[in-house]
Amino acid sequence: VIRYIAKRLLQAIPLLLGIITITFFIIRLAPGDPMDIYLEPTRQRQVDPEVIELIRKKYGLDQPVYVQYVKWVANVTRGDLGESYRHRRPVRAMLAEAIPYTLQLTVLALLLDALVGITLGIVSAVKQYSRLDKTVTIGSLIVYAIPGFWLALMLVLLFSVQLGWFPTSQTRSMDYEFLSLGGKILDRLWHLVLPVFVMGVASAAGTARYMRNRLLEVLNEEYVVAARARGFSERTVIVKHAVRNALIPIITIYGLSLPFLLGGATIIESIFAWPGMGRLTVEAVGGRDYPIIMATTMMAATLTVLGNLIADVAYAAVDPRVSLEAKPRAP
Amino acid sequence: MAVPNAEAVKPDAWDLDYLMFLPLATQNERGELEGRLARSWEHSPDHREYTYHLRTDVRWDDGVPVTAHDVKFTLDLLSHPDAATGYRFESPTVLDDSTIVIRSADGPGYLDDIVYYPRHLLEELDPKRFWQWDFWTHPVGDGPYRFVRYVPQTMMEFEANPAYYGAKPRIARVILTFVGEAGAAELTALLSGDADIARADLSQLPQIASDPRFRIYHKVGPGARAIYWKCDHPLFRDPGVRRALTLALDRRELLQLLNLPGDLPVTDGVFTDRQFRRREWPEPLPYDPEQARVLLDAAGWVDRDGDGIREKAGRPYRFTASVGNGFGMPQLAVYVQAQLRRVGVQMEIQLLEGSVMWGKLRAGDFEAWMYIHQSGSLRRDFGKGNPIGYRNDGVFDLIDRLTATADPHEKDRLYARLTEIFRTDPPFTRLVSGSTTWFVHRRVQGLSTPFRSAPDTYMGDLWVEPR
Repeated sequence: VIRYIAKRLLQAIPLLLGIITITFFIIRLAPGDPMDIYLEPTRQRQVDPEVIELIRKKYGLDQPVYVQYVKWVANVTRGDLGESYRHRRPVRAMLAEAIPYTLQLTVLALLLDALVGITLGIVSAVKQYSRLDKTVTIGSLIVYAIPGFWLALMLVLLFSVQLGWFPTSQTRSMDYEFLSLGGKILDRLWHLVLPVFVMGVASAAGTARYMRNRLLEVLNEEYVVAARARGFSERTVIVKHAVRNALIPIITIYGLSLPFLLGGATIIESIFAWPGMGRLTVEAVGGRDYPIIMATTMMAATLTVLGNLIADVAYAAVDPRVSLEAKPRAP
Repeated sequence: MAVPNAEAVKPDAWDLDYLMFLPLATQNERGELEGRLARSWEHSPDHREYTYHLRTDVRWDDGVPVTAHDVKFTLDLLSHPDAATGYRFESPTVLDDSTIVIRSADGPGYLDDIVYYPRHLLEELDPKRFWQWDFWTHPVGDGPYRFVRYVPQTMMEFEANPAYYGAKPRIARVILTFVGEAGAAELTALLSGDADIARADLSQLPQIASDPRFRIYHKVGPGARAIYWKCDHPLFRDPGVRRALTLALDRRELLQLLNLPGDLPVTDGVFTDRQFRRREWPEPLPYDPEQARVLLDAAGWVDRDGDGIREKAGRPYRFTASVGNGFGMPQLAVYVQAQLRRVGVQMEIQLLEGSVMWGKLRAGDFEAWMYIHQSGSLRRDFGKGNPIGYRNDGVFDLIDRLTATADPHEKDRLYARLTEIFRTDPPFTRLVSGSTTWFVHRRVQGLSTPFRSAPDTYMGDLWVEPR
């Protein structure tokens, strides 16, 4: 297994290099100049074009693109992700601030997704064609079809603006620092309810559909029929034999969720003023903030590769039919 | 007050630094200078040199007196290449602790938009890390408010400064709540009562206008939402045609359609901030679609096939306007399109984000460019080698003279002469004044459109009525 992982990681290096190289040149080919932040109409004072050129020089943007690329790669290998043009802060520090916020959101959303989605999928499959199954099916289709941003805005209008039950945005209350430890935890959870619900429930609807279909397939497999014939209770058959096997492809899906865990949800983070990776990326793209765009792209690419690898390894671990080792050829 | 993030208090686009820091002087509603940190001043005959006599009763929040050395330190710091602020000033001369001479080659040296920072706390810090200094999240100032606390990613709190040299602010505490750059979070913060003040987009006007809890204020300046014509393009080469397109636009109707107050100034031409504050607004070309049709006919653009679009030599009068996103430009473009259609001109809309818009302008890669006109960018927009293909030697000469003078009176005169030329040979058309809209809870008092509309600038003068 270790040899397999090492081999896959080695294979990933040229892939990642290819991705970041293409990204580097594509974003520079896109129209727009990062120095245009100095022309924004909201600025009080016109900036002298000569001063803009000096700033351009400071960031190395006056050099040919291939020189910028070589310098960027050299800096990245030293762990230097550069400085944001817009925020004028080290990108590494900005990522270090944003990632924990995104993780709070995405990990909880993923847990909610798994808990609700898998449970509803199982119930729906076991009670196939029942009223409960039909309700879950229609409900999940409706939720799946609702755009996340719309659902978020409607929930904010209802639960925050009208009822005042939850905060409209942000990660904590203004009096946060004066709360006890328990109060602080509750306060953070209180701020997480709406964004986590929107993200978790929307994806749980998809998971429920997938789980239901997969479980129905498994329930018709011979080994399940055999288990029933051997006299196991229906509960044992479903939980120990069917569900465990039906979960195998779900593992792949969750493995591929790794980029989402750190990449964040752009729209939801913007709506809830959540200072995570998604919002950071959106603002960077709008402002042609190349260092942030490159860092977030590189991170997403790395996590996608790692996610694939984890999914493959986990798949092999739970499914004895899958082997990571090369099998000897038949004579 | 809802703001994008903690960077709102840094020396950049926002006026929130007025909460904590003092400028030397500010312009009042009549365009006159009023002293703040400066007690009095005099200037050289050519206005290139201003000598300021500072107040001696102003102290930083830590008790250290504010002196001319702080002013010099700040201007040098903001001009430091490593700080990358975008500012560049001549290094001033300190005559004594309360007297400083500021020289400026290209304009009045009163710098009313610059606030000053404490030298004794910052001079040892590295300008390369200027934007990362802890000072910006834990500032020490000399203005009407002083810093209380900062909660990362959440808020910053200020209280009325008891040691402030002026009248104590009537609002005891001001909290900036950080809601990011997206507009939706600002609006929901306002609607839910989490904020009393939010800066918002024009598209949100109808919703707030119908809500009795809020008032709307518009910050208006000499800049405007405008449409630039590509003057060397066959469709716009004729000044008479450009004039006709301006006459075809009903700017009062545009205000109404955008839900903006009808008493916002409708003007044409260019003017200084001082002229604007004095209400020396040039008369606009009137809305006169009949005259527009006459001019277009005279230029040979006639609707011969009856399809509602004018043609000349078989070519229809159809062009694409590159329209910037934000500032209500997309909605405005649709209304302009409808108004031009009435005189037989077809405008297509190409919606682009701000960064792309500036690239288009620089490259001259457009037929019509619809975004924000900034009054300080005359040389770039209409001077020699301008990207819009505008050629007028009289205008080039006036812009050269504008660059050469620092005398505000002379600048006013030159701007007025430019406006005269632009009446017959317009390179652009002003559509709607104003750039910033504020939604403010009714209980917050002391603001008015158009000159005292920005809560970030006038926070120290506002008051709150009990709920």
